[in-house]
Amino acid sequence: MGDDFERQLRDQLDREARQVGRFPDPLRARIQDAIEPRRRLGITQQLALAGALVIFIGLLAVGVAQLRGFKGGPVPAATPTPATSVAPSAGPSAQPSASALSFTCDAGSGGGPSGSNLTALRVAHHSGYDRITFQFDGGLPAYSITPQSNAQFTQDASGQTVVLMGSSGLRIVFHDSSGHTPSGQQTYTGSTDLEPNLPSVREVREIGDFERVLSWGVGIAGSPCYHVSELSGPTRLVIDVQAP
Amino acid sequence: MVAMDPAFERIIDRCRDGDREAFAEVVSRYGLQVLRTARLIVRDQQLAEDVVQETFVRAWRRLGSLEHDDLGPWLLRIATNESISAWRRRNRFQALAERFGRLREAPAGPSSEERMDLDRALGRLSPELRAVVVLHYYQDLSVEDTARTLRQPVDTIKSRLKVALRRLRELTGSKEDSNG
Repeated sequence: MGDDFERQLRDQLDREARQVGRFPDPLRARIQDAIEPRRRLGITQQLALAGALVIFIGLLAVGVAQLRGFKGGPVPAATPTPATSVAPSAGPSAQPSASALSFTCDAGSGGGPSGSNLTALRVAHHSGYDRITFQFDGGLPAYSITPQSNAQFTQDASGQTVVLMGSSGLRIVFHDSSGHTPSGQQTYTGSTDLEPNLPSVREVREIGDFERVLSWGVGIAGSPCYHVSELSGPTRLVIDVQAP
Repeated sequence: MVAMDPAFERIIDRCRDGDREAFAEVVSRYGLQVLRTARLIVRDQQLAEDVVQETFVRAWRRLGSLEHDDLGPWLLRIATNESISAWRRRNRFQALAERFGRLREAPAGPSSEERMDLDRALGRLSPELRAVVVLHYYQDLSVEDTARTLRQPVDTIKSRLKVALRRLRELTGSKEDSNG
């Protein structure tokens, strides 16, 4: 197989494919943001799930037998059946979302010296949590996350108090980082005050970008408990805030 | 089937354990190939990127049921099916019209003035035909591997390739080689 026309066809497809030179970083980030945390079930959980399934099928069979009895059909087995049956709680779902995350309400920190700058910030609701994603143009800068029992923040440099929406908050500080390069070129051009009004995250606001210390405040409805993930390609700090 | 290197098998295992960092490596390894394939089928960069996102999200959810050796073809199958569905969703009217035969081209192919280049001719194929052409001529899969990837009978793939080539020749005004 392989006449001139087929060769031309191969060349054409190859040319067209090569128009996509590399895998786009924003797409990589979209995929990472879209995938839910997932854990493989342990053997105990698998056994529990199998047991629950067997009990459920048993109860279903008993129910069908009872139904036949009501219709006047023969009921061969006089199995005693409970008047009411409550299915045992099935173990964790195969793809737990928020339940797979371990949330903490304590302060946390991570990252390291990198000198990178913020390029994007996204906020979105997922089942059981609200996700805040900070994206950087280099390695993940050293950061600290501090929960607080109110949504009141002190702005860096000015010392002014700002009150965000919500009843509690998270203060997120990135060291040796900024929304612009040291030469002044803006790297983050998005909003510095987002009001996504999600179940948990009510407001995300920049509260300081001064002398390479970048601070953001998060106004939260409910407890300021979170789960943090550090992702690469591109570098992101993902904070999942527990939602009711 | 191509056996994976042990290091990559460990990455897949980490993915199965819910390690999203590990999954980023899967995306790095297969992303460009999947994106190019999707783009060739849907012929639109934005739509192709949506297809790729959906492909990897589905893959992440179903990784538990995957055999190690099958990751590449498995991703290609998801991407191809998703590309066809995405193209159909975007071109509902055209798909409907095709079904009822309202958008028939001139049966004997275009006149010399109307002859089109291969690029445009490929755009005239249905996404199902284009998918087979892309897997066979771009991915260089054999007819059997194309059939395996798409979970279609070999005869169906042969027939689709034949129809696609005939259509492309008609549209571009190319003559079939006497020895081909």
